[in-house]
Order: sequence, then structure tokens, then C-alpha cells
Amino acid sequence: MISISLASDVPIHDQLVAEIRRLIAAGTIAAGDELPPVRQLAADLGINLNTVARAYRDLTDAGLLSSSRGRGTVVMSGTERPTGEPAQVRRRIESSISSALSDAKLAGLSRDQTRDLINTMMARLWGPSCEEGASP
Amino acid sequence: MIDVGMILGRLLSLVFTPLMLLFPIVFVLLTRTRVTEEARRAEARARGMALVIATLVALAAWIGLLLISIKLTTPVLSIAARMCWLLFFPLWFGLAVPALRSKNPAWVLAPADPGVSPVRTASIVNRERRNPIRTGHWVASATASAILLGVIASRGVIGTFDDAAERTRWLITLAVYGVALITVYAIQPMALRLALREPEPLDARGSEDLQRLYDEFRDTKIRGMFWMLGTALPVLLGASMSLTVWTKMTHGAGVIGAIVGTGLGIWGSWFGISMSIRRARISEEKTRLDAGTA
Repeated sequence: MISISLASDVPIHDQLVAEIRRLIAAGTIAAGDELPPVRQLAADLGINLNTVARAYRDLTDAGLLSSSRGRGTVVMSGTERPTGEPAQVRRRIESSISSALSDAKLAGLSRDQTRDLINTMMARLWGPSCEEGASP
Repeated sequence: MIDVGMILGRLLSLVFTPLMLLFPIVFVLLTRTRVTEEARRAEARARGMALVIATLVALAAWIGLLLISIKLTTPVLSIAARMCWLLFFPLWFGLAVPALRSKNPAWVLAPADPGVSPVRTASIVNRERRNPIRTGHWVASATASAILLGVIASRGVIGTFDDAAERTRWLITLAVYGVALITVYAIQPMALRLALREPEPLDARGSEDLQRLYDEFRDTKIRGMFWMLGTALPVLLGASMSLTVWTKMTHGAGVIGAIVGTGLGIWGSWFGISMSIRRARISEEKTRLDAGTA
């Protein structure tokens, strides 16, 4: 399932891209799986057709999806096409994690609560870790 | 000699207009009022009353025109009386639909309306791949229609005509059925694909029950559309046309055609109404689930 919130400050396009990336990263949809047509998804979510088309296009450019007439839009790969230098990619990820951790701290979450939250999120994507709970 | 076909035809045309004019008010009266606030209930009552008055005016206009046309034997007035059934459209779309929406807010949610919740959820299943009607279904239906087309066409090949008029009638029948088949088999598969694309907004949590309701609704609708418009319509049309060209019972075939046509019409109306009711219930269920989440 794909969920977006109209009340969120995040643009709908970005939410949609993030949702599809999440589904691919979590393995809910794997390489070869088909996504709903643009018209269907736009109608179900009650959003503009172009927003969905643009999200699909961006994910296609990133190497996650592939669109073709007759075959529809399918997941190409579980890994994004590398864009930029590895150092740049690492900086982008660090920036995202840093922003999320700041949010957690400002929201009043303790170190342990934040760690639990991160572990839960990681377990969803990579599966449960055997080291989980062992480290301090 | 009494022409049964003509009598039946006149009776049908006499009953048809009041039935069409009364349908909107009967449908509104049979719909349960779901709103609880007194102001909304009063609004529903006012809209219902407006529909009652408009229906009475339409019926009075029809009866008046009918009586005057009988008395003055004026063809124009007679035609106008027969055309009074067209008042169904303003009665239904102008008054009955708003009245229905006042009585039951689920009717407000058009199929494309994903609701009022800020959280929008959608399935990631491509519904076009869930079409219960396969190519084999279409091949079977088209084969039956092609056989009937052959039966009609063979009248001109192996049969003989009494006069030129009979030959012309056969040619017209063949052309009409041919065009009807092309229209049915060109439009219906497309219509079914469009029906599969009808929006199916989920509640914020993506309830499995709601998804199951959508699945059942979609399956019933697609199968119904196929059997009614993609199979029964061309086959029954072909069967009655074959009867017309191969037998001398022109009036009898006309009556059979009228009965079959009426039967199809009633089936279509019942199907359309029951699908609308089911769709409204799904909307109600979604509203209930959204309210629970909020």
C-alpha cells in the first residue's frame, strides 16, 4: 500500500517517491513486480495525474523503475543507480540521518528510545539482526 | 383479426411513460435516511417534497396531453404525450439525485472522491491484470454472434424472397446486426478496462475488509457487464433478427424482440441500481473506517 498525507508539509511528489522507495527497500515489491498505472494510482489517491507520472519518471531515472508500453511500470532493481561520487552519496545519507536524529532529539526522545526506533526501522528493511539487543 | 403485437405495443407505450416518471420518487422513498442531524433531515424532506410536486406536475402534463390528443386526434400532441417520458431525466438528475444525497451522504462520495481524510491510501496492485474476463470469454461470445450473423446472411444465399421489399428488409437487418456487432466488440472490452480503473480509495490503514469489498464489487460488475452487454445483448439481438428474416411472423418477432429488449432493460436497470447501492455501501464503510482512524 502507498500512503500520503495532504496535511504534511512534504510535497506530495516527494511523499510518493519516498513511499515507493520504502516499498522497494523493504522488499514489499521486488524486481519484476508491476506498479499500478499512473491513472489508477492518481485516481485512488485523489491527486494529479502529472504528480504520479513525475514520481514514476524520477524513480525510472534513478534506475529503480522501468516503464514501457504494454508492460506498464515495473520495478527494475532493488538498488538505485549510483549518482555522483561515493563520498557525495555518503554525505547525502549522513545528512538524512542527521536530520532524522535531530528531529528525534527535539521531539524529546531519549538515546535508548531513538536507538529502539532505529532498530525497529532497520529490522523492517533488513530483517531482525542477531546482534540486536546485545550491544549497549 | 386482432393484432396482438400492436395491442401489446400500445399497452407497453402507455405504461412506459408513468413508470419512468414514477421511478425517481419511488427510488428516493425506498432509500433509507442515514443522516441524523435535524437540519439535514429537514433538507432531505424538502428535496423529497420538491420531487413529489415535480413528479405530479409531470404526470399531470402527460395525462393532459394524452387526453387532449385522444379528443382532438392531433398527431403532434400524441407524439408529445409519448415523449413525456423524457421528463425522467430532469426528475432523476435534477431532483432525485440531490434528494438521495441529502438522505444518505454516502451518495455524495462520487466514485472518484477519495474522501475527506487527509491521509490517502492506495493499493499497489494493477487492477487491469485482475480482469476476470479472459480472451476466451470474448472468443466464445464472438463465435456465438458470428454464427447468428451467418444465420441471417444465409437467408439471402440459400433462401428466396417473395418481393424486393423482403430482400431490402433482409439487407437492412444484416447491415444493422453487422454494425451492432462491430460496435459491441469494439466498445465493450474498452468499457470493461475503464471499469477496472474506477477509483478504489482505501482508508488510512488500508483495511483488508475494504479491499475485499472492492474486489467483490469489481468482479461482480465486470462479469455482469460482460454477460449483459458483451454476450446477452449481441446474442439475443442476433436471435430475434434471425427469427425476423427466416419466418413470416413479422409482428410476432417484433413482440418477442420487445419482450427480450424489455427484459434486458430491466436486467440492466436492476444491475445498475444494485451496483450503485453496493458502491454507496463501500463508501459508507470507508467513511466509517476513516472516522475510526481519526
